[in-house]
Amino acid sequence: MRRALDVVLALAVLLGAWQLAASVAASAVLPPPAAVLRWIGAALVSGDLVAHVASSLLRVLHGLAVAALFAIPLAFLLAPAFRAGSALVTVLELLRPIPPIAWIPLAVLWFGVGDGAAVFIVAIAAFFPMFTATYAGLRAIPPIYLRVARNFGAAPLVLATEVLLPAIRAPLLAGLRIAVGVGWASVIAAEMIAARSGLGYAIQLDRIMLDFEGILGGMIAIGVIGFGSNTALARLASRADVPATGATGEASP
Amino acid sequence: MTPRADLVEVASLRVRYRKDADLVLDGIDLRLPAGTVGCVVGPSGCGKTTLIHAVAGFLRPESGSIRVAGSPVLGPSPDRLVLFQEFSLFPWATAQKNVEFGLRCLGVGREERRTRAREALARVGLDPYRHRFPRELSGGMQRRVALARAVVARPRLLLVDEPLTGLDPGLREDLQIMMRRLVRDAGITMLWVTHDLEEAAFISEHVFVLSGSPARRATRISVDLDGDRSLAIRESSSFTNLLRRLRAEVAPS
Repeated sequence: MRRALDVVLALAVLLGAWQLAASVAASAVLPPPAAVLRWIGAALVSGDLVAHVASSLLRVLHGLAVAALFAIPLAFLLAPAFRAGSALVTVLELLRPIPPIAWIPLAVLWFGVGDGAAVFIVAIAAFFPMFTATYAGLRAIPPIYLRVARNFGAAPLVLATEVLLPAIRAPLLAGLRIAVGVGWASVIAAEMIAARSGLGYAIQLDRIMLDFEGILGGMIAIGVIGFGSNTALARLASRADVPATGATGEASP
Repeated sequence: MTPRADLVEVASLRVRYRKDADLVLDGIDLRLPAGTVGCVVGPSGCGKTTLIHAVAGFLRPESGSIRVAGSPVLGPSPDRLVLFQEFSLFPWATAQKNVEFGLRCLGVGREERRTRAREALARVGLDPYRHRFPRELSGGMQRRVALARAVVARPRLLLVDEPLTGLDPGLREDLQIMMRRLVRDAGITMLWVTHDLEEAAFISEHVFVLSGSPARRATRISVDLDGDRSLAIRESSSFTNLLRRLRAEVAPS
């Protein structure tokens, strides 16, 4: 309760500062909070905002699915093979510093302007945290669990569902959380150049139209949705906090 | 009484961990009759654990042969289960799910799995705790879950590597009696590694004293005590004599 109150207070300070800055600046350059809130209300009513949010979110989900489809099986394939695994991880470390938005030109040439390019950018962004989390998670499984599974003669499917996946649940969720964060940031950037819908496209269009309220309203929507998804995933991760390792202190001498 | 066949037959076993490393076992012979409990004792670092892992099929011997129930050991098998020295329960699964794991590997159906796991947990006195996670159980309870997980899968041979280290003496004795009773009831042969000579004398029909470094000999000493072991046996003169003989054998003056 205390914390919620503090947050409301901090928000009020932010809005106050914004209001103050807006009253000093020309309203055409920095509209006051009330005007932006009015714009958000109108955009919600007209359905424009919802449509843009929906197409951005769909692209993120689509991109995450594509990334998971490549990253997780690849990590499962490479984790047991030490030499191949570490070689490919080095190659990926070379690709990782390329920011996802640097792929936009290629994405546009390959997929054209539209969903394909934006989904591709999200997938590139989300691939790295997902792969790294799965790979590192698998490599960090205490060997004793694998030995138990071998001893019982676990078939690959049983090994994967009963041992490997539960053992890496925590790092996998952490990786997913990072992937959602970078995916959301990347979809906005991609839509500014390579799409005809979505929040990124909307605020880019508002720039051309000199619609300051639209730009700020869109930015607020981006922030709120990013915050919401991150909070939801954090809650999911803390609920699945069964430790992958660790006995009680007395378990092993 | 007709002599029972030997379930475990180890002949001239030589093991080293790497090609250029020193031998850990150098020509060990050991035969354990079916349906009995054998204990391997010897100074620490004499290769006791190595012997267990070799019989389990986790290591390939350099030379010599290991046969269990007449078949050569070529790799791990659910027919030869190991109770590991370290904590080996899956921390993400409840006691019941842990016990079900082996049955899952053996392809036992869901209903039968559940019934047999509950029976096994009841036999180690843990039915009321079946929904607890390992970290919510004491060290002694964790060992009992691991025991139930192994016994429920009905192996021919149970290989036990110092399973009771770190427990206080009273608890150790309770578990020694429980383990002996459980494997005898199930008709499982048990090969048990320990450095505790009293434990060895109390639980086994045959004690194998490893000597030499690397271990070259496994001297077999038969234990001439009643099949049903109770704590009273520890006070008997035959137990004291046996212990004296074991001590002399382990540390020849």
